[in-house]
Formats: sequence, C-alpha cells, structure tokens
Amino acid sequence: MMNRIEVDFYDEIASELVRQIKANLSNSETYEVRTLIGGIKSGLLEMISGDYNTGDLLKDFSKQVHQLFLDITILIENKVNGKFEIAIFEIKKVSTLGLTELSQLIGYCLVSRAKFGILINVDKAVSRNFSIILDDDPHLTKISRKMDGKNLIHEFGVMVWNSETKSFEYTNSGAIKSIPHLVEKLEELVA
Amino acid sequence: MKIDTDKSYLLGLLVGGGILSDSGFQILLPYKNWGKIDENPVRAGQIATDILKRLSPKWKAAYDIDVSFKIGNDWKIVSNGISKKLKEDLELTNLPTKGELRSIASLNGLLPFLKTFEHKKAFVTGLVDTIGSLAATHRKFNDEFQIISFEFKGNNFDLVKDVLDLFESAGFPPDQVLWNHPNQHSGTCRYYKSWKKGFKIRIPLDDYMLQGGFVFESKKLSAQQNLDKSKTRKTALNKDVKIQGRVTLHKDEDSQWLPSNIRGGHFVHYLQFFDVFGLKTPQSFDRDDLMNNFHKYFCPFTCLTKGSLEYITDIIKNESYLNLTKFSQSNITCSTLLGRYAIEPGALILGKSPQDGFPINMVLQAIAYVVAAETGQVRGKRVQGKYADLLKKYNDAYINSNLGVSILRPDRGTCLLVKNKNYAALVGYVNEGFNKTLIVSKESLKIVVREPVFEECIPL
Repeated sequence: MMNRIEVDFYDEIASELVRQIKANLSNSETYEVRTLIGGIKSGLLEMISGDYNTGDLLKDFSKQVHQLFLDITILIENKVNGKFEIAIFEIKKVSTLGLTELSQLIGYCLVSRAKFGILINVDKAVSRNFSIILDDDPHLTKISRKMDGKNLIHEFGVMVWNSETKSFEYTNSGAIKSIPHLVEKLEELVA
Repeated sequence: MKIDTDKSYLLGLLVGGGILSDSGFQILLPYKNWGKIDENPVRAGQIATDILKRLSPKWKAAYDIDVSFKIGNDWKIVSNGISKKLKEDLELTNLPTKGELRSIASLNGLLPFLKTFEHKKAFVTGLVDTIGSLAATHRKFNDEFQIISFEFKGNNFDLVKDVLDLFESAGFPPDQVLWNHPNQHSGTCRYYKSWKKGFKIRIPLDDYMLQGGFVFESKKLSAQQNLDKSKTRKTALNKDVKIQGRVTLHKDEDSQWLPSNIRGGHFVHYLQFFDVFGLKTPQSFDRDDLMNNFHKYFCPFTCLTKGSLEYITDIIKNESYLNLTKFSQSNITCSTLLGRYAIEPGALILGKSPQDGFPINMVLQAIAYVVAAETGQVRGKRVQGKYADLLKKYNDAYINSNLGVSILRPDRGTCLLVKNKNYAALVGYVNEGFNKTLIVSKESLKIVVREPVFEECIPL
C-alpha cells in the first residue's frame, strides 16, 4: 500500500468527527455540525454564501476571523439561538507528538479564538516525555485569558487517529480527554 | 447523565465478558487459540497493545478506571475497582452491578439509551472485541463465506433476543442463529442429554465490515485477513430461507431450564424462535407455510438414536410406546437399500404406503453405525468417513452373518430397530397424517406437539 501522508487522512477523520459529535449531542436536531478543511475564513464565507442559512453571530464571526489554514475545523451552531462554537483539529503523522505541535495548535486557537483544540497524531501516540509535561502542568492545556473584558478559556486535548480501525484513541493527556468529553463542553456553550 | 458512544462501547465489553464484584471487574476474552501467545505470538502482542493503548485510556476517560490485563488460560482485562460513575450507569441502564453479565443481564434498560446508529455500533463493537470470534474455522461451507460468530452460554434467552434485536437495527442481520434449545442442538436424537451447548449468532463478515467497528486492531486485522480469502461479497440481507428435514420431539422440550415463553414448544427452525420472541424475520421466511405445514417438519419419535445395545435396550424399556412395540425381522438387504437410496434419497420404507415409513437415509445411517461400531470405525458415535462408502465395502451376507446386523420392523409406527451383537440404533416412523393429530396448539409459532401413546400409533 502507498504511504499515506497527513493530508490523506483529513476526510476520513472529519467524517468520523461529524458522526461522533452528532451521535453524542443530546438533541442533534437542534444543531448544525459542519466541517471545514483548509482556510477558516474563506471556508466560512463560502459556506454562508452557499446553501447554509446561518445566524448573525456566525456571520459576524466569519467577517472578523483571520484567514488561517487549518487542517480540520468543526463548527457547531445552535439553529434556534444562533450560538456557535468552533473546535480546531491539528492533524500530524509523526513518530511522536511534542511541544512544537501543541504550540502550533495553541497559536491557531488563540488567534481564531476557538475554545477547543485537539492535536491528533495518525497511528502513533505521544512520547512519554510529552505526556509527563502535559500531566505535570494542567495549565498547559487549559489556558485562560481576558478578551474584551471577558474570560476566554481555551482547552486542548491530545488524541490518536487509528487509520486501521478508523477510530479515535485517547492518550488521557490534556484538558479534553475524549470526543464525548469535547461534545459535552461544546454543547454546554451553545445550548 | 447520558450514555455516550464511548460508554456504549465499554458497556458492550462488560456485557460480552464482564464479571463484576464490589472490588472491581474482570472482562474475559475467550480468544482461545486465536489469541494464544505460543500459537500466535504476533497477535498476542497486538492484543496486549490493544488493551494498554486503546482500552485503558477509554476506561480512564469515560469512567476514571484503570485497567490492565492478565493472561491465564485466556486473556482477561482486569480493573482496579468500580467507580461511582460506572455504578451509576449500570444502575441507570438496569445492568447488574455484580456477577457475570452475559449470564444474567438483559438489555431492556440499556436499549433506549442506544439512541443513534453510532451508539448501537459502539455497543456491538464491544461485543465483537470480547466474544466476536474470528477464528478461521468460522465460515459457511468454505472460505468464500466468512463469518463472525458470537457465542453465549447458559439460558439467558432475553440477552440473546436483545442482542439480535440490536444487530438487526444496526444493519447486521444474522445468517444463522443457534439457540440453546434441544431442538437446535439435538434435532435428530430425542434422547441426547448434553444439548446445552450455548447460543451462536453468526453474522456474515462482509455485512459487518461494511458498517461495523473495531477498537481492537488485532480483531480488525484478523477480520481483514479472513475476508481476503473470499472473492465475492456474501450477505444475509434478503437471505433465502428454506426449512428442510424433520426435527425430533425431544424429551427435554418441557425442561424447567427453558424460559416459560418457549417451554413446551416444538421448534423446527431458528426463525421460529424469532417469531415467538417478537424479532423481525427475513422477508423470505414464510410464516404461514410453517404454520400450515408444521406436520411435515417434525418426527414425534427419535429420528435416529445410536449407541450400545444396552443403551438402546434401556431406551426401549423406558419409552412406553417402544416397550409395548413388538419387533420382527425384516428381510430387506443393505444392497437393496443402497440401490433405492441412489434413486430416491428421500424415500420412506417399510411403511404401509410410499407416503409413510422410515426415512431410507436414516436407516442406512443406522446400519452404517452398528457396522462401524462393531468394526472400530467410529469416533464417538460418528461413523468415520462417508456412511454410504462404508456400507459399500461389505456385501449383504457379510453384514448379516459376520457382523450380525438385524433390521427389526415394529408392529406399530414407532421406531425401526437396527442392531448387532453390541450396538443398536432406532429410526423413527414418519407419517404426516399421524403427525397432524399430535399438534395440540398453535399459539403464535410456539407450536405444541404432544407425545404419542402406543394405542394410537399406526398398526403396520
């Protein structure tokens, strides 16, 4: 089999994410769940100008957000009250994940104001050393800052995509431990 | 409190192999040779990785429980305790908090929480990773039809029913189900006592692989290896259902061990149980045909019972209609039977007309058995090789004089007796008109057939 590179996994990971998020929402009918691959600003604008009838909150956000090229972005919007959240998934296919990859994801989330970021390595877990760093300092994956007078909390998790079983595996490292855990937090914010 | 997809998977693992106590749980993984270190060392390494890298973080994230494994006769996942969260979920879903779940659990309380396809799929994946067997022997006829087989012991019919319901709603209809019932495990011999061999649900691997999941990479790789042996896709969707042969009226159909909703019923096909339990049956299952022609599908006597002369004599003594039957020597020869069998394998012989009598294939098997047993060509009660080939080796004179085989016809339509010096066999009488008189109730497809009494048995 040909060696697959990082980008080859985006579609299968995004599809499974949507399935898992929809399944784990208390009432999936209330929410729109979409994925964006690539530029977040252009993706949102294209989505809004296309078939997606979004609320004003998301329209405003799409105008303000910087153009960042992200591996996978999940958008969840409450169709009733217009509240929305985005979660950024940074996909890697490296022998071990480390601080470099996490720093990149943190940067994306801070700039885009996404409250959730998940670092995903394909078929390989995190190094023991990286686990110890994350476990020893929980603040590394739960960052709180003041924005426009409000507290903005960014939370991060580290997971593995198993390309054989086509499923997410967990590392127990970081503030977000599992996909259902992420969904619970997303739903709390957009309910 | 809700049951998410990760919890659905973990509860599937517990239902598949969990034994719970106050201090923790074990999940038995009955992998047998498939997971043995000395026989499959690479796979054993994969299983260890699956437990430590894939399962352990899932348990920790969902229930804050640490798990590891032990290897004895088989693999076991062991926990360091049962968390409050897990106990609450077990109580919420009416699953037992103590004991072996596979023996005592019902899924009544859990099924409403498995609300989406992903939840159902996750729970089924838990079953696959524990009791879903991918041993190379699980196939139908040959390598072309690969199967994933789920095995359950004991008499937890409710659980098997619930699991089948779940499989159906998740899009994995079974190709075949073996219920833990005497009619399923001993369809031929009325007197076989060791029929409690468990349940088996056989799902075509192609159907499972289309939509089903795996958390254990070892299982996924094994499934793929099995599937690579077949060239065409096999499915149980829209499968053709045919009811063939006759099922003997077994002595244990009234056993108190069986649940009340099937106790006393006679079952000639696994889908008859589906109907009684309210499970969906394939479109091709003709319920009305089974209901209207039930008399064609059973034999009120043993179809074929083999054993030592002493064992058969004992059966005759204790079965009142056989005890009162008088047997007389028949002159029919083995070569005549073989000749007739070649032309008409479904023939009934030694009856009053071509429409009644003793199935010729059963009579030949009875002769083959006593000959093979007397000449040391049996394994247990099975004739080694093909029974017709064995009979063709001997001529009639040799069978009758040297091997002392007698074919004894009864004076009533009960059982034909075939015997020699040390062995014997009984073959049941078939008469569909007589069978009709024995059907006492058709309450749904739980059809009750009463046992015949000597006085009403057809004089021959």
